[in-house]
Amino acid sequence: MKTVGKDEITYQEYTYIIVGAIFGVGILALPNRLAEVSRQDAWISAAVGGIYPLYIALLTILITKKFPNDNILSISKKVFGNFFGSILNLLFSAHFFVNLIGITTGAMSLSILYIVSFLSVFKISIVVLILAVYGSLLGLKVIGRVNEFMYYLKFILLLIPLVALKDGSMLNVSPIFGSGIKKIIDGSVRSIFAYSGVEVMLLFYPNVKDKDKVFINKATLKSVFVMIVIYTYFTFLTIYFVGPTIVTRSYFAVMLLNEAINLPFINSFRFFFMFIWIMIVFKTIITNYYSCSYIISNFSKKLDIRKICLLLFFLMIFAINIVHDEAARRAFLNKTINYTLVYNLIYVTIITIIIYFKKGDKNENL
Amino acid sequence: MKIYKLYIYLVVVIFTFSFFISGVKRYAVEQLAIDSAIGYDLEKSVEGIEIRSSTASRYLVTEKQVKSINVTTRGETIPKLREERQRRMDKKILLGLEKVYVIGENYAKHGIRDLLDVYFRNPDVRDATLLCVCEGKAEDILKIQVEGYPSAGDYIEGLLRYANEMNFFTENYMLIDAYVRLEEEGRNLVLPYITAKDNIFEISGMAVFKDDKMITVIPSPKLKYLNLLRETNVSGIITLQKDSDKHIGLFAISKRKVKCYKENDKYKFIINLNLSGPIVANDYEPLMIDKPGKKKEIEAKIAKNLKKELEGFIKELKTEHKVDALELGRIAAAKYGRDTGVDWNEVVMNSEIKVNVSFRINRFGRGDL
Repeated sequence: MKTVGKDEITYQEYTYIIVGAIFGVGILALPNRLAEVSRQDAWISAAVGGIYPLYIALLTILITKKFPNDNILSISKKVFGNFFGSILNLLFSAHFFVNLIGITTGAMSLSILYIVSFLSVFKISIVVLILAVYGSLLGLKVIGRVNEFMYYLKFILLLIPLVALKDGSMLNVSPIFGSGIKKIIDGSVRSIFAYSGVEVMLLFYPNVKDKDKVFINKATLKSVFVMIVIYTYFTFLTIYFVGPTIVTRSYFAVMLLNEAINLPFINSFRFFFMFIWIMIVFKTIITNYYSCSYIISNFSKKLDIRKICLLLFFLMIFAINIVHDEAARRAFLNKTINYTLVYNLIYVTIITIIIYFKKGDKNENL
Repeated sequence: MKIYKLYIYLVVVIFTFSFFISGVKRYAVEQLAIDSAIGYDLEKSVEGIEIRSSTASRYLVTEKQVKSINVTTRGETIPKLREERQRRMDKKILLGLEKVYVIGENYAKHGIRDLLDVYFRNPDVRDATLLCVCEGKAEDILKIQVEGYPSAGDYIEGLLRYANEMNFFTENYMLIDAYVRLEEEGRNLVLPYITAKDNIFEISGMAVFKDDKMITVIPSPKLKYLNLLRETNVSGIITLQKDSDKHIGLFAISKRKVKCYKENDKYKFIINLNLSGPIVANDYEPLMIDKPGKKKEIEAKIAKNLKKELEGFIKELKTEHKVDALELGRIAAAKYGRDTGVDWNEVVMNSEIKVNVSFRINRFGRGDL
């Protein structure tokens, strides 16, 4: 048996990590967030919102061309100097932190709603976070493998809702483009939260094996396209099945798709769906937890990622127990995630511009 | 040294287990009350206060047989009557395994939105549970004991589930259908209307809703026309009768296609019905299998008769009920845009609705006696 090399991943694992970091909680509430604005064309919004991950993928490709062995954090330290670079990186981690809270609380509120309503928030948060810490301590290679396994498990989750095709109607999604281009674009802005997590591609490309480095472009684009297809697929199916108004009434609209399945002796298909879904979400939490502690540990050379993982545990327990219920979670995300996202966009764009306009010093310290 | 480690592990395991188990209520299956059906009624008291009541028809499993007992409780709202119910129950109610929800006539007329909201919120309720409206009070309906059945709910469930074999019923009388039809633009809810006569239940009509209020019941012979005009891919019997001896009966499968036009700000709907099916009984024209001319004649005659009856029904819908029970507004909304603030009930009922029927006999059976 081959030993697991600590942080060296193949380009396939890199792809799965990106997909795994995105796909998670966002999917279940995505259609109703979009349908509030763009109504029956929400699925077009979901596809148009894919511009954001595509843009990040493009920047990643540009950056990897210049610095194949330095991730965004060390490049930033080279560009802005050690001190400013570290501080800007810490701000960069804010998005990951907010996203991590969003995913964890989302997973918890769903499991409380559908599976373990008898457990308290504190108990669930301990279970979820211990898994996240354990997974993160095992290192990037293991996370890559977990993501690879979950990537294929996800296809079961994609196949279940296909049953809804027999009960739905094209009348629910027509007139296509009927809600107007402006509203479709408005809606697509909302879908960006669902795509957040894609930023991990900026962190882990130096860890890809040297002989696989040529495939990084392929890996980033593939993962982004897979996510766009999955999101468009789920949003379309949900609206096709029930129509745009009821989608906005349900808090987790994708769960309605399970009602299309009526099997004898199985009371409700929700539990089966949740069973697979919760495994996939644990992987999403682990991936985001790891990347969050990875950035924070990069702040100074003294910090060890394992210590940060443990420290983050207590911080997260504290944060989760403040914003655990769905209303508080939505308010928290609405207040924060737009700012951190815009900051990250500007930050990464500026770094890309700077490294491209400083010519001839590819191998120097900038 | 090793034995200490074992002790530590043991303590950790026990501690973790007791931490997660503490404060968790667990019930054995004997402690749960499982309902077969729940009925809802609404009365107005003398002071004008609405009193809702619910009847839970609960299974009672004894050694020899399964029976059911009914518990009826009253309250101003559904949460209040639930609280009341637990005061009379010896067990915890397990929601989510009901087979059918029976809505009393008065409740349906008053509006069922609050009832559906309760179910839409609850994550344990199965969205495939059937819904129906009953004549009079649901309490009285659920009291009836049908021989061989543990409860009335079991019988009603079968009644609704297999209604789609004939009379052009669909299977879509479940909770999820009610949510969708209540909320989506241009749609209206219809539910089977159940009556009990001599301890036997029957679907005697279709309750037609406008928004969340029942406004009318389409009685038995006409409910076929409503279903035909409203649904697609449904089956039922079509007959052509000269007199009691000379008749032809056909088992037809209907396919509906609706076209919608807009002319001078007026909508125009054309409902195309394509029916086809085998002959069930034929005294009308013996050995029709060899008479292609006669077959065509009969097909045209059936189509013409049906068309006339359907047109009459649409006229009645337009003049009396004034509700778009055919869901034509949905088709217009899908073509000409949603969220325009149009009241589809009014628009559709004031626009021209044409019906085209085509009929085809496709099988003759194994012989002609």
